[in-house]
Amino acid sequence: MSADGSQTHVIFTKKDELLEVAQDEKKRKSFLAKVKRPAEYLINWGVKSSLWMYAWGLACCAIEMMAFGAARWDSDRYGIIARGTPRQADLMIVNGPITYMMAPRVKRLFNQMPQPRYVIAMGECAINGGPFWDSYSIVKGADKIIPVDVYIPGCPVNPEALLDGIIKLQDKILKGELAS
Amino acid sequence: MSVNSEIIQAVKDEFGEGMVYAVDRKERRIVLTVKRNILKKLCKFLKEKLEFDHLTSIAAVDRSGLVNGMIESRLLYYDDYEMVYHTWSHSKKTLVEIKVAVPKKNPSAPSITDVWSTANWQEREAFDLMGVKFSGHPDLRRILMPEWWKGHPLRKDYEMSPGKWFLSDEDEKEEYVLDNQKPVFPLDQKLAENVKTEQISEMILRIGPVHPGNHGPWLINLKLDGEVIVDLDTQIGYQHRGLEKIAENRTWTQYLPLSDRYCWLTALSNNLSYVLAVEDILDVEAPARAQYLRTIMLELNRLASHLLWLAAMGIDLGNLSGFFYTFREREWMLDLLEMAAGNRLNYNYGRFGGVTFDVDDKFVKKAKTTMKIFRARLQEYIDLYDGSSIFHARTKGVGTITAKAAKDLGVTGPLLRCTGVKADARKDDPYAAYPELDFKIPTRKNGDVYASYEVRMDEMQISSEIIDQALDNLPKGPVQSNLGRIEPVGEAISRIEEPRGEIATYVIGDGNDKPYRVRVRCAEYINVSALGHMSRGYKIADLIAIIGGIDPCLGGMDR
Repeated sequence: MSADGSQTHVIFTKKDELLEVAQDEKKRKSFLAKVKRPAEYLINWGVKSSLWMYAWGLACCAIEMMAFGAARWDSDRYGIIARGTPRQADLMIVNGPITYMMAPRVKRLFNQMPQPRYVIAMGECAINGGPFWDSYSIVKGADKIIPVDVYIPGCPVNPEALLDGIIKLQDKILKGELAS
Repeated sequence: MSVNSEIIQAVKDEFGEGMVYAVDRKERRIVLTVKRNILKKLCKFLKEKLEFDHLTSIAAVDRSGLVNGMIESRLLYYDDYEMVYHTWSHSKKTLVEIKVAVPKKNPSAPSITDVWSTANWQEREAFDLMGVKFSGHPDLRRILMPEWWKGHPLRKDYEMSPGKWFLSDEDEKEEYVLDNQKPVFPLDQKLAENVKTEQISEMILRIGPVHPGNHGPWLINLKLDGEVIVDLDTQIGYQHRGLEKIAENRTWTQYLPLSDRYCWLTALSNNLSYVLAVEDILDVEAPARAQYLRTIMLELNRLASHLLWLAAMGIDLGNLSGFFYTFREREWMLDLLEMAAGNRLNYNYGRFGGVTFDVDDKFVKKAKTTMKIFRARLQEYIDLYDGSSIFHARTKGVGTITAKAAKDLGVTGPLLRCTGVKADARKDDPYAAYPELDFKIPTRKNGDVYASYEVRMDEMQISSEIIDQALDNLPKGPVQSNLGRIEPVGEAISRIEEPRGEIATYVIGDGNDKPYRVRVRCAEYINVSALGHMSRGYKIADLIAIIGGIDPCLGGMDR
């Protein structure tokens, strides 16, 4: 535990490191000294390492989300697997402008996701309406409808930026800071 | 006697002096200003006697705010609203523009749906956004805005309300009800009676608004008999961002990046169609090097778009490895585009009288290597897709459309060329550096999903060859002409062959620093309107293949 009482990061990088910590008494003690609520920490660690994202598309950023899942960036490396239904997903990436017509559907899709669930606002449109901010049909940001954990700027967001956003979300999950 | 004067003579002989005839500066289009009562007769005459078989776009214009830029001929039949029809002849290769004045008090015009079926959705759009009623339209309801929407946004006196910022639970319930209300099926009464008499069990299935097979948020209402599709009604507008209205609130240059965003897969075509229309009004031309760069980027964009179509088609038909492979090459195309324009999807590459950035030798070298490897890889894809008997079974003889129906429905692009019609704006209505390059237009005869797949595969091969040619002949010189502050007066329409078909942008400038009206006809919108015709009689599983063959892009559909 650090001086201000917040959780310190203990990140398991090597294979079977968790097993080692559990078996070795010295390592276990050092781990328990660093982490405030070990059980919660371990659960969060599991959750952040297997974020399943909901594969849907709204606009340009959806194409970049596809590129993120494809060969060059390969989201599978981060335990992120695309699912076709919100009921199997932990992570919803709002990847485009939300119109007033679409807004109730987005909310419903979010409600269909089981907890714990996370939302990333990907791109300017999902943050505040973006280039369409003065349009008659655009909701000015995804956070007007659903709670958002991470905002990624860009128009459209590059896959690298999306990766950065997801790492930030994983950080947040490990720390236990949740919007929803 | 030129084609244009022949057409004018033929129309004059038929209708006499009851209208105003004009030809634009470049002799590219004929402008006919007519009265409402002869509109339908004129359209019929043009289609049946003069072979104007393709209706490009229908634009509704609110002219009440127009101060400058009045063309003299318009003064004759002046009124607050105006309907502008553009029709193209595949055989004569010329454009006719018909203008009809519509009073503001009771805005109505005769529907021309029974002349060109493609007018159906375009008239619905004009009704939705401008509030013009069409007498005789079979199915006049809102299309892009939800049913509960009040007012018609494209009218000049429309108040841009801040809209609803929060959704209360009751609003949501309302929307749920709207989702579950009975869909209106466009099928005519006679067929419906047949269904009744044959005692077919009817089932209604909704696909969407969010469904992996839809390629984006839109709703398909299916009326089914067992597994067979009896009728189909689509609900679009979930991505309607009101770009045509936004254009009126931006300066000419500010709108450039927004024009990219009609459809993110064909951003360059959209952007350039706007640029070309404005250049037409200003009567300027880009320098030769810029024209070649435009051509190269357009073709790179076409390759990127077609590769994404191939990836999506792979996912739809159970060939997931196709998705991973095609995205590898797509990334190369995007790398090249990023190298030249600085962005991966929305390039903002066009400028009035040129392009944004020049390219260097490094780009030329890289592009050449990429094209060489790409052509080898393309053969691998043909093996990967064509070698699968499942792919053949699911695409051959599915979603068949005849050339006549395709023309009537306004379908363009690979979908039209796969029926045997050799129509391509790159050849017929040339722009950029296309007239100086040597290339072929691939066609097929069958008109099914497989034929459109073959056309697209051929197009990729030809695109890479065009890029090679253009890189070899790339002239030296500036890429921009300095125009300074622009305030165009007049109107123009540009046609561009985007990967999915024809995009036409109709622009009116009244000497202000902002466009007076920008109207876009996107290929996706019209192609999807033919979905009902293409899928009736097929099974639900075929629908996914047909949608894959249409290659819809929600941005272009909803704008």
